[in-house]
Amino acid sequence: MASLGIENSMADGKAKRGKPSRLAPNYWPFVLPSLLVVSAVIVFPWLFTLWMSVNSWTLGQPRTFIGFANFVRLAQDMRFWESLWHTTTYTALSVVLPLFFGTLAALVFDAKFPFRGLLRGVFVMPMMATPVAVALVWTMMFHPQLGVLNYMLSFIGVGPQEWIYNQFTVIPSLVLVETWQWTPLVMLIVLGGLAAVPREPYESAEIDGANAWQKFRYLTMPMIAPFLMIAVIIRSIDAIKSFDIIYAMTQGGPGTASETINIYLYNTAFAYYDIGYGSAMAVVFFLIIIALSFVLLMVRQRAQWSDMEDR
Amino acid sequence: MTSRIIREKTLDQVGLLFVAFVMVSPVILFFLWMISLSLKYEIDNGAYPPILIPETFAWSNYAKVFEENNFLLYFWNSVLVTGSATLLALIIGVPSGYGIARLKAEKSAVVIMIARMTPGLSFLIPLFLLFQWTGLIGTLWPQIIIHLVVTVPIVVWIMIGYFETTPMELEEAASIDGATPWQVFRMVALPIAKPGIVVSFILALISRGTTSSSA
Repeated sequence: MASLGIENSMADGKAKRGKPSRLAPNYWPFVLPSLLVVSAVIVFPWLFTLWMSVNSWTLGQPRTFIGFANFVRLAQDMRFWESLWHTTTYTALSVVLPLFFGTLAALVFDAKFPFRGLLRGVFVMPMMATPVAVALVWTMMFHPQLGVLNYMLSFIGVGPQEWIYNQFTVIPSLVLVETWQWTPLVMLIVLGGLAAVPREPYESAEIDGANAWQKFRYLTMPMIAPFLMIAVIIRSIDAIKSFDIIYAMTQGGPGTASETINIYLYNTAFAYYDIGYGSAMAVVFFLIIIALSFVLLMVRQRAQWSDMEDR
Repeated sequence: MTSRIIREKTLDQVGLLFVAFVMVSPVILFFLWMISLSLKYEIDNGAYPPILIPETFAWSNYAKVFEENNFLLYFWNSVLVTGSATLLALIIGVPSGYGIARLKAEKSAVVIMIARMTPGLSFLIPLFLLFQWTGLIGTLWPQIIIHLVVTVPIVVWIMIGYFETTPMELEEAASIDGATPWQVFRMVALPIAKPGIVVSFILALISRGTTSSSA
């Protein structure tokens, strides 16, 4: 949501950008405190992490400089590659599913029907819940013998599932929780987009005899595409960093079946106290996130250009 | 003719209502179950088939929360951390949003934005060590400081957006009348940007609530 405002403000800033006049007062004192805080809390830790990543250091033992050995070790670490794969599937599913259901929900809530406000309020409740509480209740619902989900499945003739206790279903189950919690965010973003869609094109499309699907495909979709893109960006960056739900529900288990990079990183640094190796992992992970953000921003700009050409 | 249209419309509405109800059902199921779990004795939690409404309500669960876990202290701690992290973020972030907007210093803004993209755990290692060295572990300061990482960027970015839309003319008039930049900010820009401050206050509060991983 925050990014929505940011995009607009950036656009505004560019539009009316002019040279600041010579007589302009000095504004740097206003900026200084936040730059100081940000550098203390972010830049310092980053330099520290970079430095630690080229050292071998387990907490409580002497530290030695080892160059890029940590990164070489990382490249040969099967557990790291597996966690990378888990992160990829987890992120992809946690972007696509909330996007699909969120758009659907936004289309429904954009229409007028009784109790709309109330139902919409209920619908966004998961977003407000704290992840740890969410994880706790879902864990109980997923219980293979006593869980309410298996009980409900028995009504429609589906046998009991092992959910998060089986290495093959653990990631889909976690994605289910993630989707449950974050579909409302996508819904809100898309709903904002739908509110800005003008009425007239639909009227003329109706006169031309377009059916509901055609109206959605050729009118609604292109007009809400920028909002979908924002939702994809926010969702990808959040999903790839997802930690709370996975850690609270499975700690990366069973075995290492749901261990994402973030969980592996946490275990390395805070369970094995292998700070050097953990830092190397953090550096690689950060590079991955930066790369992903760049790709998404580029796709977004391309999407906007092709929009312009179409019009 | 008209009655048919009306009937179709009501059918549509009933259909939409039904679809919307299906959509919110997972939410309702979850929260009902959460309440149910909180009101059941241990023995009912182990029952199969699961019991939604137990025969006897375990209100004592709630009493236990207050008695055994020092819940009030934890709650007060959360309030302290949230409150001070949000207030500090506003004190630091609002002026700098103003400064960045007036300077058009987009690079500073990007630096601050990177904080939002940084995986929380990567600044956790150095900060953890730092807090250990300075002996702050065990106090509330580490939590407050870590939350600043999240709240400051949000406040700054929202405030940039706000200050860019507030009119420059008023501020120019004030500075011609001899106001210092601080006075201009305090007396002119700040009152205009009040809605923005409220928005960033709320968003900073919410985002803090969902970053428990760092705590």
